[in-house]
Amino acid sequence: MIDELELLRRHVDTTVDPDPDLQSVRRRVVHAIASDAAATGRGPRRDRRGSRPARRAVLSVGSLAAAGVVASVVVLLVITAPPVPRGTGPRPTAAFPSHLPVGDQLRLIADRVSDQPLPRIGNGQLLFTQAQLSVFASVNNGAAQTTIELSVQKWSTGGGQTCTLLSAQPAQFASPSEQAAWSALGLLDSPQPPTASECLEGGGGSSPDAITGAGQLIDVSALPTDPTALAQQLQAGTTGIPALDQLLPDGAAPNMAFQRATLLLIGPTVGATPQFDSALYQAIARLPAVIALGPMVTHDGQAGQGFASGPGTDQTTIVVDPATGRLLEVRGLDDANTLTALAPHYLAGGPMKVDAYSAQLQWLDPVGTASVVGLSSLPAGLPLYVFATVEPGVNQGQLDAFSQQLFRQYSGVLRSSDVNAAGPTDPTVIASFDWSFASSTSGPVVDQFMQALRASGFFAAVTEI
Amino acid sequence: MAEAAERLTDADAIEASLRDAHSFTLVFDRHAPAVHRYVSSRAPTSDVDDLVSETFVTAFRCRGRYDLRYDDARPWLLGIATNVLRHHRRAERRRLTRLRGARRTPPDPDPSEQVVSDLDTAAESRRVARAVERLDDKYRDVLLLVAGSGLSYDEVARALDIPIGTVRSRLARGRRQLRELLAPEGQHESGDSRTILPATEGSPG
Repeated sequence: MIDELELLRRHVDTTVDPDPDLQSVRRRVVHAIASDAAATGRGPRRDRRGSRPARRAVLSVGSLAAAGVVASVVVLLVITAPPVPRGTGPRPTAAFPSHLPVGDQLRLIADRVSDQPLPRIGNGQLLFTQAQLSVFASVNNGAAQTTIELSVQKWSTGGGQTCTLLSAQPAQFASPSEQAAWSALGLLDSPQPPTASECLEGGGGSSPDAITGAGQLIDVSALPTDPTALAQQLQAGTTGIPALDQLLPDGAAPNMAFQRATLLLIGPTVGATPQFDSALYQAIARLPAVIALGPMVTHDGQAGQGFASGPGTDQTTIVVDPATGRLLEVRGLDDANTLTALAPHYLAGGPMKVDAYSAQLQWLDPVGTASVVGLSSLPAGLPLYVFATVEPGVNQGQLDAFSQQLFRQYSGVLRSSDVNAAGPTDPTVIASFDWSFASSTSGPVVDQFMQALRASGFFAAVTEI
Repeated sequence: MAEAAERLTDADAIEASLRDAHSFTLVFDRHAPAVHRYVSSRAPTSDVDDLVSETFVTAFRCRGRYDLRYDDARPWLLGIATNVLRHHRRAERRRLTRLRGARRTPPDPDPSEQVVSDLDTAAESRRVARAVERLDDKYRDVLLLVAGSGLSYDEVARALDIPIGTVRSRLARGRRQLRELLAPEGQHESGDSRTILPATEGSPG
């Protein structure tokens, strides 16, 4: 006799896709979660006493204005993080003593960090890092809202030259009406093109842009490995690293030191030692108003320990693997350039009715750990860059003549050429050049170009990326 | 870290999501296939993604009411999915109607035995779909949660928020009704399957 339940099982087995593609559903759910979190600032147990309006950092219109299609666009970056309710944390994992005071927890992680191997970048090698970001964008004060997920890939030489490749997914909308509102403002659902790339000479973290900007390979070799001294520099903004010291345009945030430390955890960095990495966690333990959040799960399901600093919606949160100190997720970090590089890619080119634009960096997840790769690992679509540092004493006339000679000889393949001044103390002295070639340029042509640079005697260092 | 993530129970993840909303994605990643399977068995293909999405969004918004004593959230999610499906009964009717006249992707032309086998499967599936369509809602819920999703009686009780005794009685009566509905014409215990069973349920357990 046929069993009815068995018959039903067979029926379900034969009518249901055994391996459905759930990615689009996942994106919708994640978007709804993010929208809900952004709207409420926290979950159902929200403690409204600690919340206040999100800090808004008014930034440069930058490339949006350069696109020439916006008469008045204010690019805002609003960073929010959910406030922390007391006494409602998840059960601690057995592996980590979450019951300890926050300082002890961080010191415990610091001990473990010092055992971790560090990547070393050799000649002809690049440090590769990758991160996923989710940005909640709002146009015209909420008239149209969307979530955009970005992938940021960086390849850095040991000298600090960095190529950045941003890739954005199509905008995600909570409802067809929100999508219609977005389109009605003249904005595209999918960025055109969906990627943006940039390569910069950014040794020492000279560029203040942190996450999506190029040139942020931070050289930490000059930073102290004494935790107290490091904490003092992070608090005072005297690290000597512009990416840290000039983190916010207005330079003010209650948790600025914690954000600077977070940037060091994100990296990429060069010059780190096990002693420094350990000191960094010990320095975080010395910063004011750092709290432990206990076990947390990143948006992609990784479990770690959470630490945070900052009041209410100004809170910055990090989730780290307590066994290795590896950063798993960041929330609520001020980054003036997040999405700015890609914003013009969402313009349809027609009439646009955008008066104000804001974005919330909902999360940033490093993908894997930093790895050392060869030059051949660079994506085929990226232009080739050559950087050259000028020898001291070489005068402007010599450089101009040589530069013009190069341009004549390689005009067919050169994509761009740029010069960089020595710095604020003497902006008239050229310190370095960079040239970019079309990605289709053959290797021998670039090699020949670099040989010409070296043979000129004008340059102390010539690097390709 | 995947190992560390595995150490967390659903209750941990849901509790964490009360202060860290994104923790809820772990619940989605663990149970979306099961919810998708359950919803797929009861809704038109074109509606499944919407219903699964609605199920998880509803669950996220109601997570403050989740009973943290239970480590496994699957029964809770399938219960929410059942409620979501109830609100889409019209769509479910369309799905079951469609199943009556349709079937799986046609098999490869050879071998001929496979063709016969698939035709048999299709015929059986149409027959079952017709019967499931005619089941009372309360019996269909229990039968599909047990047979299609593999929940235990306890878990069905949690999912539907009914006593376990009611689960048992609905399952027994549902099986009986399904058996009647699957019987060849003329072999029903009575002319109208919906009048076969008593109107009242068994005592709560």
